[in-house]
Amino acid sequence: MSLIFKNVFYSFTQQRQISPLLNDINFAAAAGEFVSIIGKSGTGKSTLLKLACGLDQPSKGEILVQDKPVFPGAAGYMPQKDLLLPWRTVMENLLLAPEIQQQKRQKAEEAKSWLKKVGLWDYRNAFPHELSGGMRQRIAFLRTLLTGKEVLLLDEPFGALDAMTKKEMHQWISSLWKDLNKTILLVTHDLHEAVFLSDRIIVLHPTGETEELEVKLPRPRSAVLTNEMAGLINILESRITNEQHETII
Amino acid sequence: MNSMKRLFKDYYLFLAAAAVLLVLWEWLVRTDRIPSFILPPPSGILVSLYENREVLLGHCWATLKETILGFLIAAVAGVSLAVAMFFVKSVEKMVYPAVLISQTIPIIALSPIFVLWFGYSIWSKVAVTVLIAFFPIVVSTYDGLNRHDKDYVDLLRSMGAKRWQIFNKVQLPMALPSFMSGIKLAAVFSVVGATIGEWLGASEGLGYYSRRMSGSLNAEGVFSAIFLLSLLGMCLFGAAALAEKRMFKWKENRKDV
Repeated sequence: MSLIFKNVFYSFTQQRQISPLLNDINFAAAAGEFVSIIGKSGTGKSTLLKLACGLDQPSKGEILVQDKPVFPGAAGYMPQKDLLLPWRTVMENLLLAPEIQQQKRQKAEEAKSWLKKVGLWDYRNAFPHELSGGMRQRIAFLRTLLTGKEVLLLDEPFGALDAMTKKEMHQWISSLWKDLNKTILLVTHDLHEAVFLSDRIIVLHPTGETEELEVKLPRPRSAVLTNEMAGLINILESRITNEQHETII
Repeated sequence: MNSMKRLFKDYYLFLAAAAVLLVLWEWLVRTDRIPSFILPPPSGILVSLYENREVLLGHCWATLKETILGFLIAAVAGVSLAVAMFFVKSVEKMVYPAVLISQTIPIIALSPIFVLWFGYSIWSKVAVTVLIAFFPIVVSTYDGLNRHDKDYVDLLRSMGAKRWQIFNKVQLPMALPSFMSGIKLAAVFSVVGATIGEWLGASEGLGYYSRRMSGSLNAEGVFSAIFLLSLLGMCLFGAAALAEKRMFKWKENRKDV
């Protein structure tokens, strides 16, 4: 197992009151698996990812990345905003993680070949502000890949993109992912995105409980919405909204 | 050539207004509406500048020396203090209020103390300059360091970056714009500091020269010293602005900044 959450609790203190956010979260992602976490805002999706990065500590429980307790730098993290450093060129941005790991020279070739592979080689010396939103997210994803980690954690990476670009990015990611053999944990609130990309979907409820759903659609998946996909999306939606009715009552 | 054109386009209104003012000034004095020992005509100032060029050049150099020396000391000390405050919270708690309070003391009241300590040597003037230039550098650098985006820090931490790597790769570059604003202010203030220092006790420098000229009712002399001091300030500001432009070359043809 590449990523394991074992009885993870997380609560934060707000105005001297302890508010629980995550309640006994248990799940595991196998090597090479694409797992999505969906849930309404405020259910602690992003917190869960921060815990998986080692940026924050759970109040209770254990998180293992590649069978070792998590620490900052154990997994590759792609935040919602692209967070490319504006004063660095595309190439320099890609080599940020290798620089920190003191492996800049070894990884330079890899970065070059990735840029060529995804057709952004001509932009290697461009600054982020000269790129479109979609290109920036592609570079941010490559930067995450170049951390060299087996587990990649993506925090709503396409949330800020327009619908068309988003769809392109889904195709792009799924085409890259099949050769990558990386474990990906994607946090999203876009049900279509989750169904199109994942092997398994975890629904996070506001109570802090989870529910799992396998996506047994063959790959490559159709860019056009099929009946099976629509069915899955409906199931997911009802699971999420049912919960909402219960909490209102 | 192109940059000259742009410069002209940006400033032609100012230049026109200045020209009108100078002509008006010259006319007021020439027609004896204002006596020339109160307000010398621009032409008189130019003549005085030309006639005393060698003496003035010497004084200019003396002031420039004090300014640059004071500015550099203030920059090194200011940046060091700002970085120390940024890294160690207790240093910040201890020193920041003191830095603020030090600004409420009129520098001019402190200057005699410096004369007492350093005598008429260059160091009494440098000390005043340091004191004046120090504050904007500390505040701007410290504010700049604190203004970094926390998301970037998280990103680097997720890559396993150490404290100094985060500082080096994110916090320092993000502090540069604010730091450069402080540097530009300090460059101008340094000239003021050196001049004040010279008023209170000196044997050379433009501040000293202007006081001596004032003592002998030589209005042209005073004004030519003021002109040179302002020119000095503009040159230093220009140098700092140029350095800033070099530093932020990546921002060129960026529209949203």
